Amino acid sequence: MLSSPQSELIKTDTIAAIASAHGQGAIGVIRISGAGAAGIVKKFFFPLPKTFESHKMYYGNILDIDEVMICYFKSPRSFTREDCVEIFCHGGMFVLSQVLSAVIENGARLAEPGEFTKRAFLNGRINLSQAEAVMDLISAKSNAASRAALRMLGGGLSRRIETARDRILSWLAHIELSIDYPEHEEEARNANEILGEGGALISDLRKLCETVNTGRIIREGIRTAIIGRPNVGKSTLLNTIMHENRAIVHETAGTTRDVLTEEVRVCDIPLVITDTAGLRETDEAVEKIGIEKTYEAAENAELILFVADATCGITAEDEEIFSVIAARNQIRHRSSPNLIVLMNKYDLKSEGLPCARNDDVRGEHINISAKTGEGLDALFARIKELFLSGSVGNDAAEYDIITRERHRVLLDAAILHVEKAMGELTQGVPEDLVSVSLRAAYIALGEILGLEIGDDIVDRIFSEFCVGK
Amino acid sequence: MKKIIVIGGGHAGCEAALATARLGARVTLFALSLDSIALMPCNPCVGGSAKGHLVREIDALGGQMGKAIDATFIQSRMLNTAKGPAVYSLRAQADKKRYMEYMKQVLESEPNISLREGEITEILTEDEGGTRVVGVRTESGGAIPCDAVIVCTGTYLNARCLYGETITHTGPNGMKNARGLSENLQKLGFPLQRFKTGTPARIHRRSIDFSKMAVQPGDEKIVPFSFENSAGEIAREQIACHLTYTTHETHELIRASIHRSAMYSGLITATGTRYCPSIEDKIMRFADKERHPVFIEPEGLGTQEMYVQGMSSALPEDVQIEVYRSVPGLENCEIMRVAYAIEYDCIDATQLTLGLEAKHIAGLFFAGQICGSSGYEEAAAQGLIAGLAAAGAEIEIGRADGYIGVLIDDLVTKGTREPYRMMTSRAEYRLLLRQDNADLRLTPKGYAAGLIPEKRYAAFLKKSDAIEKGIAALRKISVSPEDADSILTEKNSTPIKSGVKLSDLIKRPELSYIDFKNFIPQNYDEAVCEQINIQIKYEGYISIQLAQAEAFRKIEGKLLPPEIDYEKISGLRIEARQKLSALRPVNFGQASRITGVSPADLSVLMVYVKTLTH
Repeated sequence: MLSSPQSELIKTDTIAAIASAHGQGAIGVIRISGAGAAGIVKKFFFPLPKTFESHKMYYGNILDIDEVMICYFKSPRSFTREDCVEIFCHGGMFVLSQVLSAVIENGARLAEPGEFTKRAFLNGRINLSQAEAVMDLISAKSNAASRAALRMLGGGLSRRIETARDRILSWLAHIELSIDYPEHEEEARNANEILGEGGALISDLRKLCETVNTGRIIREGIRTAIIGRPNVGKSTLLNTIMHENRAIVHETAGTTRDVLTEEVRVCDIPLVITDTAGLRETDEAVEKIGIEKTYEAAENAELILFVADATCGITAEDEEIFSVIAARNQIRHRSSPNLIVLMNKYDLKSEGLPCARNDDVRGEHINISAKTGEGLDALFARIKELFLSGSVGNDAAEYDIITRERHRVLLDAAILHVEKAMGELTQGVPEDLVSVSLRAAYIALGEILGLEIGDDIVDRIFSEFCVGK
Repeated sequence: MKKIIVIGGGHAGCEAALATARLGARVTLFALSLDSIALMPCNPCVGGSAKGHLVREIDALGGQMGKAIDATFIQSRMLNTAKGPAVYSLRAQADKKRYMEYMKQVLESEPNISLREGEITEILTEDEGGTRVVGVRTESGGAIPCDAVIVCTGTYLNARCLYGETITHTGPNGMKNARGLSENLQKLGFPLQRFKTGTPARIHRRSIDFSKMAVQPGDEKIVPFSFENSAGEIAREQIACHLTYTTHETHELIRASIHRSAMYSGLITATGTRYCPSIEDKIMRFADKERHPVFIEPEGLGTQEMYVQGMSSALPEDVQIEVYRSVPGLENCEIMRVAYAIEYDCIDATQLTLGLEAKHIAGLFFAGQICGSSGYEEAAAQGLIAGLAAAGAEIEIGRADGYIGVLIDDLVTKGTREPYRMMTSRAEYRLLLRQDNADLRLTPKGYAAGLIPEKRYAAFLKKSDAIEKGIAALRKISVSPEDADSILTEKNSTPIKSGVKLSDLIKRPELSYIDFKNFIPQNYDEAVCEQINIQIKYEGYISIQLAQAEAFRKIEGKLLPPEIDYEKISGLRIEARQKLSALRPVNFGQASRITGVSPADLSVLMVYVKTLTH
């Protein structure tokens, strides 16, 4: 058995892992999958029921560890299509890891990341887009990302794409009918009917397509750079945002010479924040390198938090930095990133000192105190407004969001083909040719769902699931 | 010399016998009656949507059907001309009797073919449960040795005809049916299916009031089915067909007597086709349709019998008369032959290879309705392929190469649970599979197989060369605004401001190659001009399908090792394991088309094969 290619392909040994979220919770779940799942549990669970019935909860104890509920899912009615057991014990890492150790001591192997999904996919339990969703879930950086992934796993995205696909198929069916039964002219559907439905379909697909940015943001995070003159409080700001002191903070100018990157979740939006060296005229070689890195970070950022000192207002140096950033962006022909001006140390500002001008091209400023955290709520609200505006809020679960570039490319192609078909119908292009465009759209949507058999599917499987290793 | 026996002289049997004989095999064709060679027991026409494509392809490969209909048609029409170049469908009314005579003469004059009247009751393998054909046994008990058998029994196996409560144990048209072979096939390991089809009544011409019907004349400009014929060569006087419609009364009459139809009384249990339903099916299943078209078509020049297309039925005789007479123009119609349904045995074609040979018995081929198809053209196409394969010719026609490829792949990969009709919607790459370019797609394959003579092939090469040159010329030649002006004005086309390439200009819907003929130095013949025009005009669409076809061919190129044990691949669902084990597809493309094999199964299979080859 072990030497057959099958066993190398899809490991059929029994795997286990903690299936509940990390951190404290009232209940923790251990999932076990594989032919030995039930046998392993029988070794340490008592009182042992006479028979383990599938999809029934059993109450009992795992000796010396915890009192638990277990549920047996007999193959193929389980997440992986293999025999599965889930153990529900008390939450907390200590208990969970003890239970997991017991499972492993009794013959299971610790699952690799994504291995349950791999088995579910290879056993035909879930389709490709669902498998992708699980992989997203595993690497999700925020709740919104995991909700979007969950939604996709549940088939929300699949359903929406299937609906669009069905619609196109029904148009095709009408065209085919008129072609295959030329003597039944009266059966043919008016092109106007298709044109009438086409607009709605296109706008639906387009909406889905537009979520890709949101999708990417909640999946990968917003690349954010904190920029400013030395000692205006950039690191303090980062620390306050991070709620911990991991960047070096010092009163002397120029202490942050390297670029620090931190990931943080702000109102459910993941930010990948780069704290940078303060920008100033310098001859010091090391500092020059730091400054160059800072400008690079600014170039790569989607969001720049420009920190200025409220106690002295916008200075000539600040203006200089603005223009450098603007110039460098212009050279690279990219649209300017979102920039938020933060007037820090607002709490220390004495009456009458000049403030940033509100009519400034850089947009409105926000007064904050990085030290006390004052004004940060306004900053977060602004970020949310900038990146998650419109219909898609942080309630990703309510919406279908596409998170993958692969999906966007295919959606774009589908939209293009449907638009082409609509144009052709308007111009009176023969319907057989219109069907070429519609078919192309149909195929593209099918590829998102993994329904079209592409040559690249094997590569994708190998790259995502480490099969056969 | 290979010795081949063809059982049956219908459209499949004729093509099979001719193809094998022309490739040098010694053929004996057995028919229950030599008077029924190439019989058209149902509609008097050849071609139509998708079927016309098949006939053009048969001709492009060196088959006979196209030439036979060109020689004997009495009306020809190109259908679907407004729906795009790929679905232009050639359809011709045949003079049935002359068609049969023509085909029989072709068979008789083929030196390698012997025609024999008689029934084959047994196919002999080398021993009981053998895996190789060694001969056949006739009804009189004589055993005839051979290297291969092509079974083309059409609708004759255990056939019975039914209308109302009347059952006759005959084949179509009251012909003798074949009784022995069914049992033998079952013994040889072919579970049989029972299919049903039907035909309408024939009525006397003098009893029809044509003034109440719409006239459907033939086309003025005729396109031949055969690439070897020119329009001029086959020009002739044509006769008209007529169109009328069923009425409310027709529908009421049928509803009132539906329980007496052999199809609704429970007499018939066999599966009929959805694609060509009887009139009672149309009315029961599409209750909201107010009327159905009825076409009156002549059966030939030497007879007064008229075919009533659209009204096949298994109603009793008395009801049939009333029903037919409720149609405008048929109020006084005299029925000469009643409508009937016919039941017959056929095999499950998934037991066959893409060459239509039984997977478990070498040398045993099947073609035509025995494989579950319906239609003369579908049968002829299979006959040709089975004939080529039986003679040992290597020929591969995939789904991206021709309708024939689609037809055979569908039958042997998916199988069919009802009589299978060819339709353009079954072809994924139909813009590439046009009836006009069948020769460009398939004649080289026919030549390689040995069925296209040198002379014809030389003419073909000349034509394809001219098309290439013509297209290249159009991409080079520009016309100036002054030169184009008068043509553009005449065609209501937007004037041009600077020189424009002809290849761009004729992409405009209102313009075509012919309009700019004078700008091209060479004077190409009509077929070449048509190709140049279509290939340039639609190249945007064609290129989309070419790309799709390319992706398709890649998957078709991924072979499945024949030794795979599907039962051992635990990731496959049980249904997929069973289907794959039974069908043993040759490549991933074919595997993907098997009913019951999901995309997920296919992914599992791909991963499995990849690990095998690692």
